[in-house]
Amino acid sequence: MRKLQFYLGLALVGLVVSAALVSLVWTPYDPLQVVPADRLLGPSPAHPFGTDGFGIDIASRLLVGARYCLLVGIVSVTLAALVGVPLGILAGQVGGWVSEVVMRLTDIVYALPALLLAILLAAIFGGSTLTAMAAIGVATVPAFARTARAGTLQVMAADYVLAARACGTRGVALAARHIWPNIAALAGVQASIGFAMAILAEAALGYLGLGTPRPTPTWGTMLRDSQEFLFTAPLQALWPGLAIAVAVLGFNLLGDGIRDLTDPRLREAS
Amino acid sequence: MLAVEHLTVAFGRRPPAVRDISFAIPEGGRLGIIGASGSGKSVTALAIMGLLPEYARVGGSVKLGGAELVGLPDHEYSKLRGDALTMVFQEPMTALDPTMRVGRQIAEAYRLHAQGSKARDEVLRVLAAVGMPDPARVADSYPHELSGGQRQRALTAMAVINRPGLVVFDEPTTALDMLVQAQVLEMIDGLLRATGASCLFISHDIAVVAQLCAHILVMQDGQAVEQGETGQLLRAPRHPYTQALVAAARKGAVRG
Amino acid sequence: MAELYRVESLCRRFGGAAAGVDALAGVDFQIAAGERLGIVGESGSGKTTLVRLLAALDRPTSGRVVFDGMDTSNAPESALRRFRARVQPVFQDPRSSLNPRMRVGDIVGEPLRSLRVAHTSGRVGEVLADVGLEPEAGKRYPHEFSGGQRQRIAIARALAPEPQVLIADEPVSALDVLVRGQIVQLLADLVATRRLTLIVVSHDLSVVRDLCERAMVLRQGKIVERGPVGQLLAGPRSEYARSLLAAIPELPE
Repeated sequence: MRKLQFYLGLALVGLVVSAALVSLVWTPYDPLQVVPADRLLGPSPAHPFGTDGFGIDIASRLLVGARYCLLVGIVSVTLAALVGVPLGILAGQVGGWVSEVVMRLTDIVYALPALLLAILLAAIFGGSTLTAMAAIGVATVPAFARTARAGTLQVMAADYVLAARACGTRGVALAARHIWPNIAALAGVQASIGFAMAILAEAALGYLGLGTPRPTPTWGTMLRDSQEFLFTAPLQALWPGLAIAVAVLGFNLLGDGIRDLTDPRLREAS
Repeated sequence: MLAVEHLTVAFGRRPPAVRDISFAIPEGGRLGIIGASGSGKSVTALAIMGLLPEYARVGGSVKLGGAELVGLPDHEYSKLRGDALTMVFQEPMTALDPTMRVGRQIAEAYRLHAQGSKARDEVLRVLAAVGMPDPARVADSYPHELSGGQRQRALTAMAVINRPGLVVFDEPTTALDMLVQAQVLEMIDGLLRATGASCLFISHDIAVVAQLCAHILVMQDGQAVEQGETGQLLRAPRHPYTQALVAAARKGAVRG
Repeated sequence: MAELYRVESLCRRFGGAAAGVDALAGVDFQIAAGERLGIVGESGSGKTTLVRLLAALDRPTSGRVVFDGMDTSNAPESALRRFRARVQPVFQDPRSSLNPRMRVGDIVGEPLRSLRVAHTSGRVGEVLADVGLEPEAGKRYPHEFSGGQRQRIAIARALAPEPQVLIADEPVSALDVLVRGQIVQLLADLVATRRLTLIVVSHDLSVVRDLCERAMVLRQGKIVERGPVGQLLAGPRSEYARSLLAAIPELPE
């Protein structure tokens, strides 16, 4: 059952990744080519998902959209992990006022929704993929910092850390040799879930017009464009919505799967 | 009272954790099972209690008062558990619900299997029976407000409140200090004597088992390597493993 | 014999001045070089706190620990490198005292690396052999070993920097009954051949009897009895030590 969850997650994520990879070398049609004569076609052998309000092939746009979905996910999660995990380890390892400062800072960022941050950044720099990634990344830092801190506190209480201290290991060496390897799986789970959140956030930003600008096809902007045809051509909204759901579900299942498979307590029981 | 025949328990594709174990405990009798960690002694206890996870495969027969327990559906089993058949676990802190007063937890075990509202009286009676000097105060305490020994007494009270025919103790004193262990063992001895309940006592410490049980079964790698009357087994252990255990216990003796 | 450890009015309080608990409430003793001292106590006696203070892994609330003339209780970590190479602890449960994600070779070599102890490339293999393990064990992970073998690995790690003092905190109580004797024997042999100073903390009097010549009984953070081990076992003077001795389950004759 646990393995099934993991493999299902892997399959869904694999689908998104392959779509992105395929789009780099081949798309059925030009995803930017407006064909006024072909507006709002239903599914057909020529256009399996139909065409959008500009007569562009939806399948082609979905494939290219996968690219942006992954790009935003990878960059924002990496950014968040690179900042959040070391902060969390620092807070857990040093404790005291350092921990207080780090945790209060993350509280503040937590209280600030990613959307607000994105609006802020978009207002200053103009909405772009970059501002969307930055906003989502910064907003995800606290989740990583908290997870890393909780994991670190657990590791710090273990006897092997005491033994390592008696061996003279401290500071960065302690973090690199003992703490990080033992919280890496935890960070992996967080990354997976963060990825799902990032995809959702990117779609939301795209939908609001605060992310990647037109005409670049992202799933969020596709959803937005479909809005005006919601009653005449509801399938327009279905496809990008489905794509987002597949990606989010995939990464969530993958995260749960990693957690279950790497938890020694659960592993022993199975 | 309890008759176990050819009990075998296997998990998944791994070799069986318990292989072909047979023993019997007469009414009022006491059997001690000793073995190292991983020898299958706790699995045997859980098999008798019907508390193994679903993916465990249980073979052979476990009869309580003549009724077959292996293959009993869980809702039938739960009627027996806590009533005819009870268990005291090793870690009294995790076996008690930290958010509930001790008295209520014990009363709960009582109400599940009996009618009437004299639960409180019964709880106080049984707390006194397990040697609590101030039953009323203990009943109104939360588990964390009690010491390790008191928690283990409370668990024992919960296990005997329905006057079960058989109580299974799984390393009940291993988590306790020696001074407390001695007191709790003495309490268990007196309680079993008073109630006439049969007992299956599981431990890794042969000296503890010898103190309490008239018969001993020695387990190693899932198998019963030797069983017999306690005095006989200590005087003339036949299996090399039993010999090593007895020798180690004799060597560890420090009282002059 | 030369005095190696001097412990003066050692106190350790947990949880603040008002509502706190004194884990150690004023402890004084000395240990001579080459001595084998047993510290007997039950949970809550303060023995684990004492081990940590002796190994400079915690700081006292008041009082001090002086090792070979150096006050370790208030020394900064950077000044403790020499001390750590000379004093090594072995913990109770090797399941938790060995990092599950490190290879045994790296675990045993850790003090050499971290303390920058000069050593030959074969040092890790040598200490593994000293505790009765194959040099190939270094390539494997802790979970591939039995409990007794894991405790051997922990002992090998402690021996790697060639310490002068070994502090063993309940070294066998997490192990199976039959393995305990082997580990006790290993410790006894190592102490004899290397002329180690040994501090054994245990609630198990037979371990203290087999390894130590002198013992202290600790109760609620205070020493209630001290003297030669033989005397403690044959004629304990304190009420507490007497009841402790009487509580040990033993086989009938």
